[in-house]
Amino acid sequence: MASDHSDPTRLAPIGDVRRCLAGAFERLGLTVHDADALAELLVDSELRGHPGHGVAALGILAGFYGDGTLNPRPRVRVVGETEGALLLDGDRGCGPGAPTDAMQWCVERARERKGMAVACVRDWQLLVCAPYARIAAEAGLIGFACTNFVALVAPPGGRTAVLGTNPFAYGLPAGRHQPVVLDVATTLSSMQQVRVAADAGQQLPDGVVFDRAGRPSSDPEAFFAGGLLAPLGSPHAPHKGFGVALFIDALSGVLSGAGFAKDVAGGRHVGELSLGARCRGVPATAGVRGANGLTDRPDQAG
Amino acid sequence: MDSQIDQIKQGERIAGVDELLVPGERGQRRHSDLTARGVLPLAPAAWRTLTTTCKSLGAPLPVAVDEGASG
Repeated sequence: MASDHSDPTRLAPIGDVRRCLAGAFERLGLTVHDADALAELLVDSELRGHPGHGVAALGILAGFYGDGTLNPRPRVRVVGETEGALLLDGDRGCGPGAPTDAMQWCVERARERKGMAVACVRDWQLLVCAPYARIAAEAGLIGFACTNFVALVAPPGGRTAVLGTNPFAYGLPAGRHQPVVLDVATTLSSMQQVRVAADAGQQLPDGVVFDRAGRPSSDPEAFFAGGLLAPLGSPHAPHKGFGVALFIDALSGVLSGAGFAKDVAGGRHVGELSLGARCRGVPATAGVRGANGLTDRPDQAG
Repeated sequence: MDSQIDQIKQGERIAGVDELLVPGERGQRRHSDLTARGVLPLAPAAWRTLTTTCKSLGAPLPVAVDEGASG
């Protein structure tokens, strides 16, 4: 495909893209293993039609590794472990490493216990939730994963961003069918989707973003100029998305001991929660052990 | 789960809709199709990010293939 003035979509061999991404991540300081895994994660998102978390994320991640926001050689350590709950410190890492370990731990424990297991990772940039929910679903378990994110969302009627796009994913195993895996932000659009639209010079559907005065807008630049993202359910029922985002902030930020609400900085202090539950035709009842952290931490944080 | 999915997919459709999908199905299908073809369509901005970042880091550069219109 010859280049022309319209700057067309390029077709590249998948293996070639993976090799280029892995090479870039290695040069940013990641181990060969971690560079390959992060490259595969971006390629997987791109293949599934989520370009916001695909190849374009290389630019943002290179910036984060370059300025020290992300740590290319994180030392992931176990902070606490019980029979059914695990807390890891991710040491500002990014990609599949710690969350894959966390979900695999959940899968093993959920099977042993014939019940459920939950793991939190603090200070780790998750990027996407679906791969971890899929790990559980492909193992025949119900999977759930979520993460908080830097504050970009105000409560309905508000103008101060206090919560992130706070996405979650579930994975449900099926028999004849593929596992059902949903991965959604609790905003109408993820920040990366807004960035992709801005890069392409495209407008968004009206009301996906708010400008800095809090007015609904279709202009991606209005968001980057101090604007906000609209919660899922906007414009008629923004409290629904905002309410779910708050729950996810509590599960991933408060419970893990990472940053929560406005304390989540770009790429840092992000917490996440992975959960695997065994199912035998009966819906699993969710009950998170160690949830005392929810009542303790807000007081400590004062 | 299979029965639930079957009920979803067998529901009546509005005019112009060929198939009803469950969450993740569209992405899984795109993933399978592109993997079989071995190629990844990249938007102009993603292509620019990949080439400029790899160049500045001294990493391998991607090479676009000519396969007619992208999928």
